[in-house]
Amino acid sequence: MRDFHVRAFGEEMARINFLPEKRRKAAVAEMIDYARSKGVKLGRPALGVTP
Amino acid sequence: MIPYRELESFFTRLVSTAQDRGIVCAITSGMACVHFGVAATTKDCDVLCEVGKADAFRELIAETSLRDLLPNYRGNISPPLDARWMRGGWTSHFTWKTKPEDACLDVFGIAPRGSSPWERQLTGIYARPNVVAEMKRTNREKDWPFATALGGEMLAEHDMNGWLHLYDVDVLKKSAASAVPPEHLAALRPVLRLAPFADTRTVKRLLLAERQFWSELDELRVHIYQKHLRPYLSAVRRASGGRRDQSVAEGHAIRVECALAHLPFQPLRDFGLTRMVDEAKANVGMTMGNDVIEWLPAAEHHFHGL
Repeated sequence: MRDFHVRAFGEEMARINFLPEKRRKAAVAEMIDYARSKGVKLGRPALGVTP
Repeated sequence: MIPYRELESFFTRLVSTAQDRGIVCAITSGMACVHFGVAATTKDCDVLCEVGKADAFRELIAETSLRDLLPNYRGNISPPLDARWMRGGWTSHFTWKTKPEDACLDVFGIAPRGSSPWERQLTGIYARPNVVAEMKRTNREKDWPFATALGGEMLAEHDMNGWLHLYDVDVLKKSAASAVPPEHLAALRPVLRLAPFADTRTVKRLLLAERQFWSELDELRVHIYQKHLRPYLSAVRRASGGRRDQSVAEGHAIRVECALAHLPFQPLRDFGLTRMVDEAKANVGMTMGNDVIEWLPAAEHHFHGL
């Protein structure tokens, strides 16, 4: 599955996906906060229905 | 900016508290994917909540503050968090107006494309990978690798239902090198009969057909709901008088009144579930050839709870 993760998500995300849970969540938190600090909007519109 | 860790902790505490109060609920979608080892960059939280406890969960949400801010219904479009509409697959949205961006929570009672009760598929505060993977069969390209990744996780944990979520030919081939898809799953997903998936071109074509089918079904589903949401949105906007700061209780009363007038309880059933599946299949047949239709999944099983 690691090959698939690299193809589907890229090297860095694949690396994060195979970290132990605690370190994975820390890496995801860091990534999300960095993106937000640079102005990336990670929210989703309210649609009234879940896609 | 509220750090993601704090947001995650806030939402996980909310769900834990709800569970402590006897409300069956679970985190799904992006946050659940991260938990299961498929990282997603999302800061919003999606929660499944048992329909019968809609009032209790709404009351819990209403009293839960984030950085001393109480929540509101998000925007004018959110249906009320009420069992009558939750049963029909409507989603309610809440927000805590933190700066510089809101913290958002989506709540729904029916897991889209669910083939079995999600309420019996929990692991701690999370919905199990099977539920999350079924929800990833959307009309958004970016969701499909998550389904396959979760399916792979399931097979690694010896949960054979993982076969139902693999949408990559290489993953299917590698999985088939060490196991055979059980016959009862092949009945639900005909493509599995092609194990060990040696005919790559045929498998790729049929996987595309499957994905298109689920995508068509999802588009149709969303379209049915949105048709009713437009007049509802206008009604809520008028009834709110331009205010966006109502408490959850105030907002709820307005939304129930408007929903009674504009939102049918069961829009998908009213349209016809079989009709939805037939239309989606017909669309796939038109674009990919009618020969693929017999290979499409038994989607009539994927409206559990409706």
